[in-house]
Amino acid sequence: MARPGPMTRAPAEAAAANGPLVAAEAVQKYFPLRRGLFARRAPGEYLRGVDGVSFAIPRGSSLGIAGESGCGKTTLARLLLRLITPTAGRILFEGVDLSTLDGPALLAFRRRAQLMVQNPYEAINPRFTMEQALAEPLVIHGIGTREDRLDRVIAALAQVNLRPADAFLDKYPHQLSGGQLQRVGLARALMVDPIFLAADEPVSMLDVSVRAGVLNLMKAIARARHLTTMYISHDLSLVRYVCETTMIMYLGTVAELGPTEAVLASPKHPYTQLLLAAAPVPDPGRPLPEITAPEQVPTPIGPGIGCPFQDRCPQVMPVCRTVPPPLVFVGPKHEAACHLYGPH
Amino acid sequence: MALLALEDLRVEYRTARGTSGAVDGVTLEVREGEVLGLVGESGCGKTTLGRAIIRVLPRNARIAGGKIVFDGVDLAALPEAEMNRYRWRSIAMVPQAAMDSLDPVYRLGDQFTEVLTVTGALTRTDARRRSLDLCDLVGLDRRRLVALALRPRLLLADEPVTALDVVVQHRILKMLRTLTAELSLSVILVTHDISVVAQTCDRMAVMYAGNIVETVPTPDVFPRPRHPYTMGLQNSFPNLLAPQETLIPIEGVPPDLLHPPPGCRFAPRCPFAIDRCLVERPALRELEPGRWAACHRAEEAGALRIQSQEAERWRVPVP
Repeated sequence: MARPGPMTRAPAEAAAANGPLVAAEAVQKYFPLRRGLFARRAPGEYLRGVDGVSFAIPRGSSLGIAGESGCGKTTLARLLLRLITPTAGRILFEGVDLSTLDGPALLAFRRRAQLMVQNPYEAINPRFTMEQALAEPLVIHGIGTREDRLDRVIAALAQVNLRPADAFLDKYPHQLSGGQLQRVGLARALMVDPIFLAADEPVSMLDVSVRAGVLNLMKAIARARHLTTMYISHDLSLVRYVCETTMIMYLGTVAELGPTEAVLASPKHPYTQLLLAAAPVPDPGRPLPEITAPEQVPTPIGPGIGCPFQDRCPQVMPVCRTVPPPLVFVGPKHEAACHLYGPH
Repeated sequence: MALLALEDLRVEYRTARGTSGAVDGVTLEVREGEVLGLVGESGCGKTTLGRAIIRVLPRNARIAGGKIVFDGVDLAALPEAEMNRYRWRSIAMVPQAAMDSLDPVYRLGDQFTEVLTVTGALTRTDARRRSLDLCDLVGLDRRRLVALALRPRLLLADEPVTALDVVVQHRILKMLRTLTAELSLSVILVTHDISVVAQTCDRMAVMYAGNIVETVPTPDVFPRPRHPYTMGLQNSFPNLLAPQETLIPIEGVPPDLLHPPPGCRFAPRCPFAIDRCLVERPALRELEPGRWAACHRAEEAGALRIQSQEAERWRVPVP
C-alpha cells in the first residue's frame, strides 16, 4: 500500500475505494412542457420524470429497477450514464459528482460506464460488420493497434458464446438472430472494460427460449469481471432472477427498495403489492386474483402533492393526501415510502 | 362440440427466395366458450394461423390446403363475398397493436357504431345502445372492444396484452374471462407468455415452426409437458414464485421455413432427438383423451421430463 496522499485527497480516495460505485442523492429530472407550437414555457409546468431519488449501488452488486412504463426508470438510467443531467441533486460515480466531469475525465467515465439497450437492431449500425461494430469503441477510446483490436474482437465474440468467432466477423446485423445480436450488444458494451453496466430491458425483445441464455451470460460475465450492474425491467420475474437488490419506482419516486427476496417475497408498499398481484405466474392452480385498486391513470404533470400513489392506493389515509411519504425502514436494508410504516 | 375445427391447415408465403410453409398442417379445435392459448415464438406461425382463420392474410400468402370448419361450414372453401358474413359478426379479431385497430381521429363511439352499421346488422340508435352496454360490461378498456361490437362467437386475440403494464394486462385478461362467461364467447389467445396462458386459458396449444407440437388442458401441461419443446420453454421461463433456480435456454434457432428439415422441425435443437426424428416427421397424436403431442418419443415423456431439467443436455451443438 502506498503512503497516504495529501490530506485534501484522502477522503475522496477513501470514498472511492470503499463507498458504493454509484450513488444518487435526491436526484430530480424535470422536463419543461411547452404549450402549442410557439408558446413560451409556462412557469411551473413540468413533467416530473425523476422526482427526488436517492440510492446507492455497492461495487459488484446488481440493482434491478422495476415499475410501469413512464415511472422514470429509463430517465434514471440516462442520468446515471450522464446522457442527460439532473435538474437537482447529485449523482456520484466512484465518489465524484458526474456533473463536474468534462474533457478527459468525462471520456474516462464514458469508458467505465456502459449501456445495453432493449433493441439490439437499433444499437448496432446496420451497415457495420460485427468486426466493425465491436472495434468501434476501441477506436473511439484509442485502445490497441489494428491487429490487436481484431484479437480483442475475436475474444469478445467468444466470451459471449458466439463461436466460432471468425464466422461472425463479417456478418451484418440482419444476418443474426435477435438473441445473437443482443450478445453482440453485450460484447460491445464490454469491449472497453467497463466497471458499470446498465441494461435497459435487455431481453424484452427476445424470444422466450433465448432470453435465459442472454441473462445467464450477463450474470456469469458480471460475476467473473466483478461488474456492478443495473437492470431496468418491467418484468419482476426477471429482476428476481438476476438482481440482488430491487427498487420499485412509481411516478419518478422510489416506492420500495431492498434485498430482492425481501421486496418480492414480503412487499410492503401497496404499489409493490399491486404489481405482484397483477403479475402473471406459470401456475394454472392460481386463478387471476381480484384486484381492488382503483383504475387511475397517474400523471407526472402538475405539482404532485402528497403520496404519488394516493389515487390508486386501496389503503389511502388522510395524511397521504398532503404529505409525501419518506422512505422508512421496514426490514433489514429494506425501505418503503409509505405512511403505513411511519415515521411515527 | 367444437365451434372451430382446423384440419390439416396449410398457409404458404410466396417470397423472392421460394415458398415458405408458415403454417404447415395444423389440426386444432376450439370449443364453445373456451379460451385456447396459442403459444409460440416469433415466426412460428401463430399470427398467420389467426389471420388465416378469418382470411385476412397478406397478399403474398395463401391457404394452400386443409379446412377451417366454423360452425359446420368450411371457411377455406367459401367465396370471398360470403366470407364477409363471418368477419366481425361471427369471428372478430383484436390485432397485435391495439392502437392500430382504432382510428386516432375518430371518437370511440363513432367507431363502434361504424362497425355495427356498415355491416348492416343494426340501426344507428341500436348500435349506440349496444356500444354503451358493452362499455358498461367491461369498464375502462373500451378501445379493444370494437372487436366485440357485433357479439361474435369467436374472438382471435393476437398478443392482446403484450407490451402493457402488468396491472393493465391483468385487467384485460380478467375482462376477457368475464366476457367469455357472459357472452359465451370462444377465444384464441395468441401469446408468447406461458404465465398468461396458465392463468387465463382452458387449454394450451404450443406451436413451433408452423406445426402444433402439443395440445393439452392447461392444468396438465405445466406439471406434465409431453413435447421436448414445451419442456424447454418451461425451463427457460423465469418464475416469479419459484426460488432462484437456474434457467436453461433452448440453444439454436428455429429452422428456415423455406428449407425446413425433413423430419421433426424441432429435432436440430432437441436434446432427445434420435435418428428417426431427423428423417420422419412426427404426427400430432392423441396420447390420452384430450392430450396431443407430435413427438416420436412422446411415450417416454415421463423419463424425458426428468432429463430435461439437466442443463447439460440442452447444450446441443449449433450447426
